Amino acid sequence: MKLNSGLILTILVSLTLSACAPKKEGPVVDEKPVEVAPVVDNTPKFPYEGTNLTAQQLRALGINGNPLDEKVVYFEYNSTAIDRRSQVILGAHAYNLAKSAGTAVTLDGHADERGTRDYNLSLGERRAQVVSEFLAANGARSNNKTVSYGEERPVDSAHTEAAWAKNRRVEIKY
Amino acid sequence: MKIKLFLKKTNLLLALLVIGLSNSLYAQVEINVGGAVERGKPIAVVPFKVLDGTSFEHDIHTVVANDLFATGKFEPIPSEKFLTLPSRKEEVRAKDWRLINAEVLVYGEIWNLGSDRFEVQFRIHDITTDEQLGAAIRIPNFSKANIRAVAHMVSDKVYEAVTKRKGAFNSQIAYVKKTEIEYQRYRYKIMVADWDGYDAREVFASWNPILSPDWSPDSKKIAFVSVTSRGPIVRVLTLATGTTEDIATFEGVNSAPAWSPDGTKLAYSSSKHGSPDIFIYDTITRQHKRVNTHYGIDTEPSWGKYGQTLLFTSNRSRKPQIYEYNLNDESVSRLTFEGDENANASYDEDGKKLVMVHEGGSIVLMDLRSGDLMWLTKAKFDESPSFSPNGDMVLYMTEQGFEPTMIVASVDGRVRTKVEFVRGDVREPAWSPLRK
Repeated sequence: MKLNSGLILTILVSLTLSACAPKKEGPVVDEKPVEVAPVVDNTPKFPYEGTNLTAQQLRALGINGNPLDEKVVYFEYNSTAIDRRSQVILGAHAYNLAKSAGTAVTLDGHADERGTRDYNLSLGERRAQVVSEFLAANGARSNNKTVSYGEERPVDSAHTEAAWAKNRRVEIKY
Repeated sequence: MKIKLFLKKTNLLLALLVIGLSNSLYAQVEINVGGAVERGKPIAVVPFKVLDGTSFEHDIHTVVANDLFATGKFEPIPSEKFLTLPSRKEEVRAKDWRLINAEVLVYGEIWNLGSDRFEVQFRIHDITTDEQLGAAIRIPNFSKANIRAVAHMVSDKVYEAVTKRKGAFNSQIAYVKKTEIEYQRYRYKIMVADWDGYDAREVFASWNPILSPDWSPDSKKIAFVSVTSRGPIVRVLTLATGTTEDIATFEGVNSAPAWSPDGTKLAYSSSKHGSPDIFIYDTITRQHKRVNTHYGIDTEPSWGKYGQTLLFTSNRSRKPQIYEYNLNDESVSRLTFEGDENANASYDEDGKKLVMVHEGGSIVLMDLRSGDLMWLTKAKFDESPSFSPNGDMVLYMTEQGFEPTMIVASVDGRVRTKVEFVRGDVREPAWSPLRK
């Protein structure tokens, strides 16, 4: 019995030793990253459909998470230009809206309180139109409707630059 | 030569204090712009003698003094300074009025004719020449409740006798009032009131935002914009019946209606073809005609006196500026070059100048011949200017301590008065034509 158990122990030890043997031969440190690497490859470099930006790049544009969750794009004063952030958001929406034709989308254009009310009605509409054109140009097959509220429906009625920046917007509804 | 009048904040505060302390009788705001400007004509309006002692809710002389003061052409003398209170011609002694530096004297009587009928008779006396201006004037057969209307008639007569220009005190203003009915739920109303805001009455109400009310030349209709969930549309309200008619309901933005001087046409802006262009609707043929086309924003049309020209705002040069369209030769010329932005222009009665919103929030007059600008206000948020029907005053919106405030400024920029009786969240005032 004692011999037997001694034999088993010997075998176990030798097995253990033989198992360790190859490790001693190769570079131990390098082996672990190789095992982790496939996990990194599993998460896509560009986490959201319709954009070729990393999550970090999105965050740099003020987009935390899926650009599709962003339903409002903003504009500079008296401008209808679509900035980088808006391009990314609208690109994601366009990709999404390319999947099925005819989705009813309402684009509500707004302006800040500066400038005359009638002019701002037209400015709000131009913004909504520009967004509609951008969506279509990027593949959206939606049925877009543009509506302007001018300066009549501010989200923030303070007379500050910060409030105005929030009010110069197009809301994407679908 | 460029005339630029700048408002100094300290002057405003000082004027407010002085007015507030010394004389609540007259208008609430006076601003002396630019310093050395000539004074208004000193005028004494004597309390009208009520022969039977009937007490009225308002004093004619107070209303008249307020009216005349607002034009910048008159400086009413406080009645405490009067040495005598004449009501008849034989009681007037020029010496009494020269002593207090009055140049014009207005005095009169009110008779009770019974059954709520009254009559006013008054005279205007030129103290400098010691001669009566014109004949005695009678306003017969009015009821007690109409005392303010009678007072405004007196103002008109005095204004016409002294300045040889038509008075505008019997005209009205329309404006939009926004009221919060429950949290974040608003009711928009078109209100009509006397020029000083008194006797405001609701003529139309809606849950949709209302903008740009514009009086028809006969004062019987008001065109306006209703911002519906399908987009802004142009509508016309008939005041006598309270009924509305939809004029422009095209896809896109329909806005900024403006009646032609003959009342048969409505100019407006519509983006039915993509970008906002100026259209004319003919109320007789019921046809819509596009009068110009450009890929930029064209809006806020306003007619010239004879219906041959239209002012409008366009951003065809990237920023909004004022352009003039000639209906005869269909030419378009740019009128404004000074300042980044000019918008919402309209001609005065004589067609010699226009008023507009400059740089997003100052009210500015432009001389059409010289192109010179004159600042009525130098502000950030002033808007919606409209001339009084005689062109001698400008009605506009400003903010005082975050409160929307309606102001009437004299076109010489010398005097501004708060439109006294207007209350609440108001915007988009429009001055009516003269009552015919």
